[in-house]
Amino acid sequence: MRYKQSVRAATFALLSICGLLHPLGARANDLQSGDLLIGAGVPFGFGSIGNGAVLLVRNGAVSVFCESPASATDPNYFGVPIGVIADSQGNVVFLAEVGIGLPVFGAGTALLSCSGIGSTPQMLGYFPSAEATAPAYPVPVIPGVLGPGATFVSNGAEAQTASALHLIRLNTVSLTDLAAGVTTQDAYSLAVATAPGTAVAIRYRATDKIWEADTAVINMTTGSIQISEIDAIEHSGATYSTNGGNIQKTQDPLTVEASGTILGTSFTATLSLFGSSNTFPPTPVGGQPAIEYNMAIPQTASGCKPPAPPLDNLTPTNASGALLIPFVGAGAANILYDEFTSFGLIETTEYGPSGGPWLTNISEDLLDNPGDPTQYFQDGFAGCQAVPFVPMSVPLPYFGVDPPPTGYALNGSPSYKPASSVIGPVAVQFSSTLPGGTDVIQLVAGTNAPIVVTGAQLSAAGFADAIGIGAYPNGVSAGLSVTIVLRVDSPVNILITDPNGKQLGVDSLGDSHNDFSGTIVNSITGGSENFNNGFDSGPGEPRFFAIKNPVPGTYNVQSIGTGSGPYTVHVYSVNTANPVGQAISTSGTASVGSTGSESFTLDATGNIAFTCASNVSAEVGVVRSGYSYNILTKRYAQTITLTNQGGSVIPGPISLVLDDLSSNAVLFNSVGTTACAAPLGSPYVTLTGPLAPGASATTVLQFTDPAKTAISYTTRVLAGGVSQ
Amino acid sequence: MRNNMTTRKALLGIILGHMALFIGAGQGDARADITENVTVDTSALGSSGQSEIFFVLIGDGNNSATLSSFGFGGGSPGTFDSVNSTGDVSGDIASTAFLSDNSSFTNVFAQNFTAGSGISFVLNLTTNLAAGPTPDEFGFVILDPSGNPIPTSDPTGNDNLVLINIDSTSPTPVSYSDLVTVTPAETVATPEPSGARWLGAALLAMVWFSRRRSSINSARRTQ
Repeated sequence: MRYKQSVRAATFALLSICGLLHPLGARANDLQSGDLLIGAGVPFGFGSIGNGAVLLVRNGAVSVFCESPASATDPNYFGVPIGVIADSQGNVVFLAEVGIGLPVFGAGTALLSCSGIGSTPQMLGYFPSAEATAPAYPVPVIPGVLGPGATFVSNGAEAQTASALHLIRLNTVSLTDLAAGVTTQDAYSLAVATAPGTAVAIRYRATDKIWEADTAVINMTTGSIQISEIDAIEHSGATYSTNGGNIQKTQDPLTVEASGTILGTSFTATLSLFGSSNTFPPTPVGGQPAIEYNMAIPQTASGCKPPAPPLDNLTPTNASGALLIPFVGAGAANILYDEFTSFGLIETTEYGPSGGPWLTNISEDLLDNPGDPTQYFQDGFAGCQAVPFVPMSVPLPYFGVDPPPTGYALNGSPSYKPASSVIGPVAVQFSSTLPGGTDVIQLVAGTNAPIVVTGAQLSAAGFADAIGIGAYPNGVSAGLSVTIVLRVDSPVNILITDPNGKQLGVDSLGDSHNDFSGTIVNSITGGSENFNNGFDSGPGEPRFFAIKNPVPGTYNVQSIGTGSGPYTVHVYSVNTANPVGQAISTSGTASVGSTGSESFTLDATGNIAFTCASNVSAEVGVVRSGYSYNILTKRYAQTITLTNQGGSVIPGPISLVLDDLSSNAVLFNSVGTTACAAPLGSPYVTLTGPLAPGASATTVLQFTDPAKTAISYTTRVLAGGVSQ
Repeated sequence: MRNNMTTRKALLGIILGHMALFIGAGQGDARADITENVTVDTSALGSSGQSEIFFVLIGDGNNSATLSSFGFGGGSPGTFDSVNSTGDVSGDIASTAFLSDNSSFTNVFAQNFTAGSGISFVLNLTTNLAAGPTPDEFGFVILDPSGNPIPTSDPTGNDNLVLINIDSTSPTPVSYSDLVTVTPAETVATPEPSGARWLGAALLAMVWFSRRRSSINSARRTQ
């Protein structure tokens, strides 16, 4: 290895002297929709590949987006990009080997970013192999994950110490006393091998420019891990990952940053909500792993008597009538989620009835519900046990056509990670004899996939050995994910009941309930589904509860006093697809054992409102002026000043209700009468809220009073709600 | 004689003591009435027709407003408008107008006038606090000869030129027009009616005592 790098360095020094380097110069980034980005290298004879480059493919034409210096001794040198993504800002980010020609041999993998055509890549992070660390390269330090001076394990081929580069749409929910919102930024997630058989997921926040642990669970459980076998992709708030043996689907945790004031004391809190994981094949039943099921091949009768519905009584078999191979260990080497067309979850596999590898479309049924009995069959080859199967289709056999074209070897090297592009998924496949060694093909439903970039084109541009491929835009669906969060400012416990009767919180006996999280075990199949859609931060003030993807309808919030004093319950609704959420709150005064009940409604798009406005009279000072008289209209006018004397924000709308208005007078500018918050039938006017602690608002009441006699009433202040 | 002198000294001491008490107590019991000099620039109203001024006192705090020393800046007072007046009101802006909410909640004094360069008057307003949550309030409005109010920034929309919300014993008049000037007149602490009665009784007693002494002396001279 060391000898090989020395040869490379010497060769590139020679090329440099001969003036054969590609010119570099910083230019503005101008990625356009539909662009492809290919990681390739410069050949320098005898089948060897030198420095790397990211190539831009636009309308079938190949050009250089950014390129390594030719000399391996240059600190900016990098090898062939092995993973390429384009972020939402048009930066091209990739993994490539670095440090191989330096005086201090510091081979490793680096995360690099090119901000524009012709730009010099910026090294965002460097993951040196165990041999040495190149000086001045930035090795991330992540407390609790990566310590100072960390070195990493390569997979034995070249110096690859990282893999699974994928783009994350990183959502952070912000909650204050008054508002809720969602901020989104790009993050580049990858896996690095920290020890033999062990890898960790880390990410770089593109806006914050910091490294941190990736809170998504990525599948790294195999004991004989090779870092190159790990891959991951994010789609619709979930991370799909593979370690080469199986596939895991994890609901991404939701980060919440909360701040506010409780009775004059400010607080901040950071929460990680939800997150759950399912893997298929699930735990083998009776020792049998899940079975691939190519839906294009007819099944055969299992021979099991009697049939046991809902289990499938047909056995997935190959054309020879033999049971298809187990899914475990089937070489799920790379995965992709098609964001622009309709292929869904895609993996590359190395095996199949007609030789692999393929680009394969996989059913997610077992990932979403591993116990689903309709995804199990009676295995006639193994005592009629219930065995899960993984339905697959093969829209694109290896080489795009079957049989493969001249020049391609059957059962050749596996495909590298495909990319989701606006024209459909694209992938790089190898040829052993054609110029350039590779073609870029487009995944379509059929056997004659178009070649969008030929190896000959790459060769003509001066490059070969395409491996990584990316596309712009790089779609990462946020999905429509509504979350409601309740914040309780003591002294009360609350118990939330959703429209289906599911509960979250603490009851009057002090017992906790969380019907939104747990495990469901299917009694027929033995498969189990993990779900984690309910959150309870536990005792403490403030206490947070949250429900992911709550069903629309009416939610009841029962409050049980645990002490004496004022309390406030805040309800927030956020949708990760929208930057602005909603916040409402209700307040009251509790004593030990006191109970209260409020209801709020949630619609399908996440709008929330208390069913009845809350009586906040205890927190509001009401000052009346005297009456003035309108000479022309003969109406009386009175100015009312409301002041929030409590410690919490009073949400809008705020209604001033006149109870027991003397019969001689009518509130002329009333907007209605109370029909929800008792006592009913009282006229009210509405002020714009919210009202912060200490803040005041005024309104003018107008009365008709034909008798011109004294007007009397008592006041009530309502806040929030959809009905007064 | 000696007895008489002793008795007189004792009575005089009692009376002076009571007077001192009343004077001292009167300082605490006095209502802090406010007296304001008010002028309104009416030059824009013109003298070709009758304008009208409305004084309004509303409430149940047993307050009264006395308006006096009217000036019209070359204009002149008109007739009292009995149709638009209501409640416990009396007088004439040619001399003194009076409003009271002792017996009536709504009290409106309306009178026409011919505008000159300005109208001025002295307002004396008692400031008894109402028992309930709603204070009494005094204000006034002027309609031009077309019957339209001089527009003001009155937040109630009623175009009051001045409003006085009697929410304390020393309320602050609030003007809602640049045409209006309100300046405090010299404030005099007014003894409560009951205190005045005691003071009067004391003075009568002194007069009676003095006359009685004169009568005795006269009788002695006669003897």
